[in-house]
Amino acid sequence: MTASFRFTRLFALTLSLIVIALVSISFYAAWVLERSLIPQLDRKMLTVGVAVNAKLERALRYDIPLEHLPGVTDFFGTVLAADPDLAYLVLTRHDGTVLHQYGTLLPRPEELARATTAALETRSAFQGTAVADSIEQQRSPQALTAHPLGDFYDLALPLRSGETVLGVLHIGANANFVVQKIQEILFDIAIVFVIAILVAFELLLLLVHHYLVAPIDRLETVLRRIADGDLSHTLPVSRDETGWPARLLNRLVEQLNVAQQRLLRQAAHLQGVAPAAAGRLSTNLGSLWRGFTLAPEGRPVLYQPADLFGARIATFLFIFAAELSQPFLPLYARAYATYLSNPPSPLLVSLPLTVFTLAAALSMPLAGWRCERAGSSRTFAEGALLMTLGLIGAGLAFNFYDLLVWRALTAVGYAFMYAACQGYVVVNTSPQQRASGSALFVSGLMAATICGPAIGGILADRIGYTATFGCAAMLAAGAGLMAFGLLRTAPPSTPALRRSAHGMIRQLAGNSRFVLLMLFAAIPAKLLLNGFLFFLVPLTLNEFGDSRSEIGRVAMLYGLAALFLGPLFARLADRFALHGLLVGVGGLLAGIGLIPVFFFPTTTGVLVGVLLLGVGQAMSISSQLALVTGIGRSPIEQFGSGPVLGSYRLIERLGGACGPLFAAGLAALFGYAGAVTIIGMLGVLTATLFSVSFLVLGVEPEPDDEPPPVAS
Amino acid sequence: MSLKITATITVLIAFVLGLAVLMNYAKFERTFSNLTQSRLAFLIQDLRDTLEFGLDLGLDPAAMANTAAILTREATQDPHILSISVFDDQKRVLHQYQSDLLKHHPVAPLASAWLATVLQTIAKTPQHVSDSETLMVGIPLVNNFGRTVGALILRYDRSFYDQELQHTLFDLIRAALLILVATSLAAWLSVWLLFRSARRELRQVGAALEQFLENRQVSASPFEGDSALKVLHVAAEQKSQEFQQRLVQADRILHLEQRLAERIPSLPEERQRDGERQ
Repeated sequence: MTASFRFTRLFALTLSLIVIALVSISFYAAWVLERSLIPQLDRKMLTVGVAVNAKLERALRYDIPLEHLPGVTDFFGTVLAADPDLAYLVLTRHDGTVLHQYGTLLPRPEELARATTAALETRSAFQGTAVADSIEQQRSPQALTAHPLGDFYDLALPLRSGETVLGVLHIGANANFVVQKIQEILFDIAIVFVIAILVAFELLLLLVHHYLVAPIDRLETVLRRIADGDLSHTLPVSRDETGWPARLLNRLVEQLNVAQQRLLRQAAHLQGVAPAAAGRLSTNLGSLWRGFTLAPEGRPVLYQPADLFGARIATFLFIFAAELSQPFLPLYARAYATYLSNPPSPLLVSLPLTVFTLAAALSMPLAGWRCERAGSSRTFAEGALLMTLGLIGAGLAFNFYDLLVWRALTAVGYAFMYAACQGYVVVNTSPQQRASGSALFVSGLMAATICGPAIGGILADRIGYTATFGCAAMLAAGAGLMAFGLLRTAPPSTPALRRSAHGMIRQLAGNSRFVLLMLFAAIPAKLLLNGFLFFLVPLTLNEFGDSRSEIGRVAMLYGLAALFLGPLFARLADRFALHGLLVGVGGLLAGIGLIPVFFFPTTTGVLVGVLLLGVGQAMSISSQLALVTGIGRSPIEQFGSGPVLGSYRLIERLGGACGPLFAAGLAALFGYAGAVTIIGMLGVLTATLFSVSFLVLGVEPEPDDEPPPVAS
Repeated sequence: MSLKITATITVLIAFVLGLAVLMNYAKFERTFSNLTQSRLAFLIQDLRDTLEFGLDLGLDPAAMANTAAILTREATQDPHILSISVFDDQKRVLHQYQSDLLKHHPVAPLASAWLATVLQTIAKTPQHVSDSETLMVGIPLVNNFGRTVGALILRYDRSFYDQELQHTLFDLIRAALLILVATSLAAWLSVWLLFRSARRELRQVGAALEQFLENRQVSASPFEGDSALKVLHVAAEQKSQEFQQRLVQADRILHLEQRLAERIPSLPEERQRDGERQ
């Protein structure tokens, strides 16, 4: 049974158990809710029924025949309009004939006739058992309860004039009242399921890899090396099933090395006593050791290759923590901004988001420097500490300015953690493995961008903003603790040889293709993401009356599209060399999706916009990176890929930081829906300019286009 | 390993169940609260209509003799109604129904500020508020000249309301825990079965290694199988054995050289003695 087969079965098992747990708790909840809510519904029907009955009986006291009571249907309509929990009001004669009725859904006449007869028979039974036939007793909840009637719960109240029963008033509620209430949260339950799948996938992948695949791989590698005569490595000993063979194998390797060292020591002793004999011995031993590699000085080295899955789960956890507040952050900021000006200007509301993106962009170089000095594990832990403090502070902020400071601290933590994970992947992969290593990192990131907003919205709806920030802080702290175990094998990398950044900037600024790519693709992409998805979506949907859960659900669509379509488009682009085309089409698609929001200001309109943004950016993001490496081949050869790609990321992030401010400025002028549309139009315009420019210039620079190398 | 994986699955299921309980409870709380509030609102609106009918006839609220009976009749519909009071615009009680429950468990007096809010409200819909003991619904009484002449306040026993919520939450948590225990056991059993062969393989490799270490002359691989791990283990053992043999050879050569080295310094002396004899 291979490890991947075991993982598949384990994943299937986990999914089955999650489904069983969710279905079981949902059915039980439906039963518990029905048990508790139906008596309350009964009471309400009785309250309404008694009041309506009293009014009808008052009318009957004026000797108006029941059939000719005027305005009864309108009166029923008024009562039902004020109470959406009730389905109908029907007045029947004592023989069951329907006289007046109102309701969007009504039971069949024969059902009503049967219910009327049953109600009157119950009354007779009361009289027969000599129970005092007072109206109060009949009206008490013990005496009158609703009964199932087709698709309804029906409460039948006798209507009397004096001592004579003239008819029966039926008050009905939908029998699926509780089921409808449960159905209202089914979407949320489905979201929880999707997120549980993603979290299960991430965690199980890590566990199976960390506790089974990696130890067995290590065991196999060391065994293979021993089989090849290499006795220089031992294995890390864990406390699980792989620990025992690893310990024994280490003992074997150490014993063989010790025995060899003992022989070498004795040979060295002989060298002093009888050099000729020692020389002969050395020749003999040399031929004996041939084909074997022993540990230098008899001290075997621990064989512990880096675990990239550790970086993936660490990325997943901290991005999850950072994204939890995404669907409500503008709403949260608006609540604080209201204390400064009421109503607050969109620019003020956008500040916490701008501060976050700007602080994250500007602290990236510092984070990279720290990672080079202290290693990934320590940098990640420091970032986790900063982020935890920032999230707790944001949840408990005293005022708007306080919130800005905490968001900036969170952003610095975010930058540290991001740089640590990225650095870990770079340090622990060969150039050939780097793409697959980055894909692991990006998959963790994307999975978290799906889970974070959706769960954050649900949590904010149920437990409030502060507690949701608390949950995010716990996640960040948990990620920091896990990083000690997951990223610790990364040695601090040797600081790269520094070259003049000035020369690189000059060369990049002189590269027209690079400038056009930045201006018309990279910056607009981040501007759309931060301005629309992170800032305008929560505020626009809130204006449309959507809950935070719904905002989270809409926001997660971006991550879903990016996670599933990103790798597909990346493969297509690589296979058919479509990078330029995909950047252009992706940009157009992302922009076009936003334009209809002003004309169709509905949740669906925003949802389509988010979805198309996700699809468009799934097309363009990986292709953009490929274009940068193609366009910037010359500076990359001269300065290395790190500084060039770092500059690209910094420019892109600075563009992203402008997104919320730009969107807020537009929202102040044109409203939220108008701002979405204008941002979309800007996206279309920049994508068109990009496409035209690259159609004219071409993606690949001509040999004579290349600027002369700048001396560094 | 099985325990760690089972623990992770358990944590995942606990997370899912926790969120499901949270969402179901929140829905229940909202629905229960809406049902209770809308029922009490309907009741107080009906009372308001009845009392305003008297006001429309030009009666003074204080002089409406049947008000107490009306309040009592409405209050008997629900034993958890603690009091229904009619106030005038100076916040003085004109008529009041008080449940017997208040004799045993008196509640804090009505907050004057909230009563003022009810009296000042223009909306026709009832106002809701709650304290630690009661849920309160209030509505202003307006005469046919549009002037607020008083207010109607209903106080409802909160302990019943809270008990229902707690009871439901407890039921949901208990069910979630039971489901969690059942699914965790199923997870543990399944994971144990799923990783049994890997465990057995590792145990066999361990046992073979141990045997090899205890008695180096014994041939390796006392188990059968053709997995990569086992094949590599056999190869590694053979190579180790080969190295051990070389170590033995090396040891022999060393001893030989040592003996030779011990003997070499005495050779010139022996030759000298032999020469003297000759």
